[in-house]
Amino acid sequence: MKSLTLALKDVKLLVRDKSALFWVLVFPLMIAILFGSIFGGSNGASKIDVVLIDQDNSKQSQELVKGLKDSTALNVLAPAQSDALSAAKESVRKGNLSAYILIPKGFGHEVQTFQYAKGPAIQLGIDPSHQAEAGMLQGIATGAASKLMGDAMQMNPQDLAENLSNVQNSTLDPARKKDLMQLMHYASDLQTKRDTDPQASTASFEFEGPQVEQKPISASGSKPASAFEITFPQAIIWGLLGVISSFVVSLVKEREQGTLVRLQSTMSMGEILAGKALACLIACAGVMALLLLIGHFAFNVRLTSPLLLAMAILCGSLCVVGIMMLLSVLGRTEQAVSGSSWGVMITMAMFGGGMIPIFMMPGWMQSASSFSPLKWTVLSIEGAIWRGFTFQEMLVPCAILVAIGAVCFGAGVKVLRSRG
Amino acid sequence: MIEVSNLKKSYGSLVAVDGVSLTINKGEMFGLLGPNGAGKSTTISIMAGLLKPDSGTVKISGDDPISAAAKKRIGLAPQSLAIYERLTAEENLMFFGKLSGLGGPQLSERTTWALELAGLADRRKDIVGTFSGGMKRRLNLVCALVHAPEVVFLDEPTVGVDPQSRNFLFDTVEKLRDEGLTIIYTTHYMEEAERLCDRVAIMDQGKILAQGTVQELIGQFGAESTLIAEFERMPDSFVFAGAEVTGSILTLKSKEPFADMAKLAGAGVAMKSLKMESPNLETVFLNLTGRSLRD
Repeated sequence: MKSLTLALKDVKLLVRDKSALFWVLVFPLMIAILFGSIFGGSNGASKIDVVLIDQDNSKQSQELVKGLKDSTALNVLAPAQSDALSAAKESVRKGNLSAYILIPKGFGHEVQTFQYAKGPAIQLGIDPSHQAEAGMLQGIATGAASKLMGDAMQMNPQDLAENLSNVQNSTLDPARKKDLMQLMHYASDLQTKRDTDPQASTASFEFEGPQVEQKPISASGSKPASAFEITFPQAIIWGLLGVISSFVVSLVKEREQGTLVRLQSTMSMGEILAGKALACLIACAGVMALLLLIGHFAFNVRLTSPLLLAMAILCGSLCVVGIMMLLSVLGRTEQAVSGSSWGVMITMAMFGGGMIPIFMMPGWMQSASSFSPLKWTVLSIEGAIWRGFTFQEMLVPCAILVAIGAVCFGAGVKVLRSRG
Repeated sequence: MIEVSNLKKSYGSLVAVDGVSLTINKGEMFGLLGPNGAGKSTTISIMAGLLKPDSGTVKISGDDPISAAAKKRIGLAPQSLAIYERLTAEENLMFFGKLSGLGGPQLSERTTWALELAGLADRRKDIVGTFSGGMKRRLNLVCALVHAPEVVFLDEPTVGVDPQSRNFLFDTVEKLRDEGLTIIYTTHYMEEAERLCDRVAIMDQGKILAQGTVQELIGQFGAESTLIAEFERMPDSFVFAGAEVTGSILTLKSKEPFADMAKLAGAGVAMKSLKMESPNLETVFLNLTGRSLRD
């Protein structure tokens, strides 16, 4: 109970320290947003990767494919040969692909007979968290399909007559057949008039366009869905360093300002250390949770597995508590502790992926990064948000974090006790 | 109430406390007087259970000071300002109150009582960092009292305090003494010890040199008063045992200063001014150690 009182006091002091709060929360957030924006928010690519599956393979569907390929915003990929739709869905689910576009069988016939509203819709499979990409793809697909209809209205007289005949012989309900016949006659008249009177082309009519149906596919795969899913775990490292730097001098400060003496008059040293550890744990978990929540709600960072994420946060926090305890005994004055701990922390951050994402590091550095506890913190968080770790897979980084924390905490307490 | 027996504490080759023995009665205000480095703070740190002695024992109402029972009975106001500058006055008091086991309405009542005692009731919600040095000192004092201890250790509570705040602190300590609190007060200002303490122990180099009431100490070790006279005329054949004359100033050490004053006047010494310096704890310390308290 006394330790909890002490911990809550320390957290309150941290919250009231504006400069500490900047390094713990604002600076990491700035890093996440800045680098997330620089990398484009979506895998760093300027084009949206889509797989186009043409199940119709008609003249009209091929024209639609050509229209989509012509879009400068899309990087249209060829589908896998076998079971293209399942493969595309799985790719979107895993985050390997932004979306797929399916042109269903019968699309060409419906275009010929102007039955867009009733016919099978163009299907757009996309992760619903990618709101911006979904809107853009919907617009591009609708535009390309509408162009097909517009082209149909500007056919030569023979094609137009053929289309009129197609409509007349179709199985459409009589009312719709009548509307379409009128529309095609109108288009035919308009084309004749336009040849003699250019101003006639300003005439307009209304007709229901092609349907583009969005099919939500929730991503659960092993690739980040956006650059923010890389930069927010990175930002957490900086937040944790901010917490360590605040708490690492806490004991020395208590000693220097005399409050440690007063605390010792009511608490045992064990209770005081427990209080400090608990305060650090609360601050770490709070910072990680807050940054991830901001990432989730403002930047669509997925919180795929809340349970595993809670486990990652807890283990990461325990590790930081241990590191804090060891660093806090590196010196006997605030300046000595602060200076030496920053040296250690910057090295840990450099190798732990705080400055450069680990997958972008050269090979030797990636190997060396295993010695930085921060690397395991990032890995465990990424495991829970986009790497799709199972519980067993999560056990490895979490066990390493807890072990590092325990060893560091034990060493710190031992040094402290040896000083009396 | 407090029994201290043959305490010893060394830091390497430095002997900080060397065989200190004391008995402090319930409701007594006991002063530990000595220059800086005399071992006063180390002694009260051991008495308050913050330090383990190398040898010797301390008992507070029969309990070891490191026991939970004794800790609840002890209040400590360290020499440094042991308060949190980013918390409010009220938050500081509530924090230390909670650590001492207070809670609920009792915590609120004691906090309000302490704020009023320190004259900080109207600043209870203010951050301590905005307080003057004197206000911080007062808060530092009442943080030791919030849990209603039976014994309070005040370690040089007036260091760095302006005269106005010093008087406020004196009044507060006197009030506490009158309420029956047992107070152990360390200082190197003999005026404070003389004004406040029922009994005083004079410490130097880790040892208790003497202890007793102020009057007992002065009577035992203060020796003589000093008469200093500036004279206009002096008879040519003037002779007075123990008197020293330098120019027009006559200095006389005397055990019976008023009788000697009359004798000087009777001997024909025409005095322009006369000053009598009575012995005090400073004199006692000087006589015991050959040094001034402020050396």
